[in-house]
Amino acid sequence: MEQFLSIKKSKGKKGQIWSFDLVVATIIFLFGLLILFYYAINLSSQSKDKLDEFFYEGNLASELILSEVGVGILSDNKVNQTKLENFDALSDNDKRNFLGLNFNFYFSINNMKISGVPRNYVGILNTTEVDNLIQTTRLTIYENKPVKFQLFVWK
Amino acid sequence: MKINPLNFNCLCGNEQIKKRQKMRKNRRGYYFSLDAFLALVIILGIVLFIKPSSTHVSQEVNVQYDLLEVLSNIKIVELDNSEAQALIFSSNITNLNQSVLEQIGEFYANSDMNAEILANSILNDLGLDENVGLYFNNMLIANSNETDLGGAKDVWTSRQIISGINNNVNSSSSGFSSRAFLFSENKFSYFYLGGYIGDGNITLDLGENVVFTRGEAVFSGPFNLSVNGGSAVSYNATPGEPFGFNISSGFVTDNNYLYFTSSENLYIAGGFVKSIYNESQSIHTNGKFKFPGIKGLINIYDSFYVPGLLQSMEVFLNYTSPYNVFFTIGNRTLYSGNGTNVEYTLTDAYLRNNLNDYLGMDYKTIPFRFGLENVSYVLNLTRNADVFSVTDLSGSMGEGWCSVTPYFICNWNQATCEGFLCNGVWTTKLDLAKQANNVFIDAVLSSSINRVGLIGYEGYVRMGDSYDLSNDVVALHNVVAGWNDGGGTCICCGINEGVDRLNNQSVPENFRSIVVMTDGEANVHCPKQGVTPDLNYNGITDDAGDDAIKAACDAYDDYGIIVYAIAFGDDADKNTTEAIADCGGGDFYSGNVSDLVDIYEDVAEQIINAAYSEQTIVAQGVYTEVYPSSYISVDFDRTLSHKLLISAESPIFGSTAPIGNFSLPFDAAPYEVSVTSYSGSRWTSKVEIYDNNLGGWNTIFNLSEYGDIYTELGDPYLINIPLSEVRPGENSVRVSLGVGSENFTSGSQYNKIIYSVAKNISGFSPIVASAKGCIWTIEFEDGTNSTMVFPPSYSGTEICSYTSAGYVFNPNDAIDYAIYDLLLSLDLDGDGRVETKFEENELTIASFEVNGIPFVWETEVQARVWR
Repeated sequence: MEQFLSIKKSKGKKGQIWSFDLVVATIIFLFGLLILFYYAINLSSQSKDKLDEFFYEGNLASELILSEVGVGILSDNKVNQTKLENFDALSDNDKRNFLGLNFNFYFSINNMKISGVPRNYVGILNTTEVDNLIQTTRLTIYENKPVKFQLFVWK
Repeated sequence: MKINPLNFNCLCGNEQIKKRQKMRKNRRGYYFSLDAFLALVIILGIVLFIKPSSTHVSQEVNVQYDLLEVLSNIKIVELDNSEAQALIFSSNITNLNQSVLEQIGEFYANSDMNAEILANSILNDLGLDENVGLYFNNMLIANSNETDLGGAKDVWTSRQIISGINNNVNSSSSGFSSRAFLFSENKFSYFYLGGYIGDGNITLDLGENVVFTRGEAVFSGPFNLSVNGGSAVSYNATPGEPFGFNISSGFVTDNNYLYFTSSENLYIAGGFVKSIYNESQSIHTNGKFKFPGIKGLINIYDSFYVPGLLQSMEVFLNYTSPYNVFFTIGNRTLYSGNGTNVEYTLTDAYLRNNLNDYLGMDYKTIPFRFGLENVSYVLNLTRNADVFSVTDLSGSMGEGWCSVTPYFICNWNQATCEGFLCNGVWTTKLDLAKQANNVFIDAVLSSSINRVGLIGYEGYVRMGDSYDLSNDVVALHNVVAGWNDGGGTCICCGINEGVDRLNNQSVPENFRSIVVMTDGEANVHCPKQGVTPDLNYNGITDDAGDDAIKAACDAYDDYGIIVYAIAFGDDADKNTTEAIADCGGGDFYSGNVSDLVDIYEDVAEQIINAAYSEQTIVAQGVYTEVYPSSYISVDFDRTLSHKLLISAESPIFGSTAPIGNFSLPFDAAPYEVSVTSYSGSRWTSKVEIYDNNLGGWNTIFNLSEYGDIYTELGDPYLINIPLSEVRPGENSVRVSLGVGSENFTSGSQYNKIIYSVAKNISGFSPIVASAKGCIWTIEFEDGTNSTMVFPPSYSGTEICSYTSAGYVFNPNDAIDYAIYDLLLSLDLDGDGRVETKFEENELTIASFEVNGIPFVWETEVQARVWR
């Protein structure tokens, strides 16, 4: 009889262990789900924040380039050929530093020439892989014509 | 080998084996945890190693700003553009120092097509990838696009005002000025209907030369409408709501009649018909208030207005009635008689003698009544409404939802909804039922002669959640506040309890009704109904639903108690609920959670209207007729205006506040201002206007001045507001209804202000660059559009418009400007719809060429980019 009671006790303990294990496992599992849940919610907003920051830097850079101060290429609201060529002559690091950019960039102007030679772009174009690229299109006056100015910034 | 723990102890006493066995058992207890832990590590790994990054290629839009700036910063003489060079070469461009934008603006101001040619050329040279358009005063001048602006999802706009002075000594120094005016203004008049016009087929005499009629009125139900006996058109009007109609054909130059007919006893509980006549306005110092013709039962509650100092009056009654009819003005009965085709005139002397020498009638709205005398069923006293609201409080009423659902767990329960994550508000079906019941109590008890009782039921009637008939609003609200959900659904229990209490606490003379609401299926029987057939056609006889239907049938058949039924939510047994209403003589309503309060409001209104049926005659086999030749004529002293009259209507008061607002223009003299009142089966008892100087409400009409028993008085639909009480700018009016000199309720949401002003109507332009004209689209207040060419000789393609969607015209064209200025004068309420209807040939334009005077031009230019 005593022995029988002992067996019953053992079975009860075993059941408790399994239940406790299940509870702990469920808590861990739910914790994992919660992490994924919050991560999923925040993922899109983080990406948007990054893109917004990118746009901000791109706009700022285009404003600086299309200005009459600093490294800006305008005089009297028109593209000044000398300033344009001076900008082109800057080193890559200087270009970035003057524009306050941490990223690679280049800009193009319709029918642009540097030292009398047609050029497609001015800037830094040394990478093939692009992660997040923004294009800012502006208008300016070049050689007495309203022209399209496009700035590309990428990571 | 598998070890059986049951016999392991028995077979082995070895401690080491026991220890190993124990360890093995304990390890088994960590299997789930171990797996979950490994899964967590994997998840964390994913989260840590996969960064939130993705590749985007995006374009920022700034072109609209730059386009205007670039065109402003380059002189036309500098521009490297073939079109510009050609225009300079051909001397079309003379001021070489102007910017490109100014030059395009000058071309535009002179209505010169070179504006479009030059702008298009520049845009094409740019070779933009975006859709770009250049607009001057909202008119598209040039564009470079692949998709239409109308289909754009995003539009970016940049604006700039440009102007110039045209003082060129050559030919372009000629400026133009125009004046536009209406030489003919159509006459308009309103035929007002009621308070209450009935009961039977109704005829309106609109007079001669009608060209267009627009009306709105509250009809008792579906009706047929014909003009001058032509083919009738059927309309399905909803009782209690104004029904609008337009008629533009079938009129003749002789007298025109509108016939409203119905197979049922038709009545009109307020409304008007506005007619436009093919004749010029004339302003008189007399007014004739024509009676509507009625074939059926003479029953008119109406009013007339004295717009000045009353000089004389005359009343002409033309009727047929085998029963005595009576005619009262104010509270004075002035005529009683009967006969066939009776023509009777109440002379000025007789009226003056009986109306106290017309004392106090100047500038006032006076109620009058024309009806059948000594007919007991005509003048029923007001019936009290006794109603029980029988509400389902079963467990399913506890179902709820969260006001916000950013995460799915928000709808889990009240705690998650109102917790920090969701921060929402939890609402249950029961909450809405409480809210709806409170609205219902307030509405029915807006008249203190009514009483409301409450019955809350689940599997049985909860006595603690029920309340006897009462007009104690606070006590009833307290009972509703204490309701909670739980239990089954015994609809028949609720109905039977309502019937018992109505029989004990009310009398059959009262309007007795029950409003029963359920959100599910009946699942508890009532022995009182016995064995019931399959009344809800679900294939099962004598179920709880059948008992509920039978209870409603018994209430209506045995005691005349009307049962309204409401099926609340998607889970409600609509077949059974509809059958309850069908058999209970009431109406069936079905709605989801967003409808319940509105439904209870509708039911309350229906009960109130059903109870106050005293304006309606219910009789069979009685035939009387009043002819539309009957009238009340008044002569009065009034200063005549020689300006043109324009009439306008304010928006309806709306349901949020029982107050109507209207704005009178500062550049016009008010001529007549009136407020309409759809009083339903009540009386318009009081009208007040807000006095901004005193900061309070001035009473301008009070029916109680004529007596406390309203059933003996007329009921005005139109109450004129003395002009001394209104002022230019904003005015506010308040209307109250009643069935006696107390217990006022708010006026109808459909009330509105109808006003007319006298005004000089003409439009002028400043001296501008051109006077060519345009093809105009003009929207009128009745909602119709007309296309007119001004001047008629104009052969160009310019499009202008004056509509509620906006105005488009060239302000540098003198004719366009003058037309716009004229239309602005005619648009009293500034809603883009011209109040006064006119034809193209009624508008005259005079243009003057002015030489040698420099003039300015100005325009707004917009650059738009869209995707």
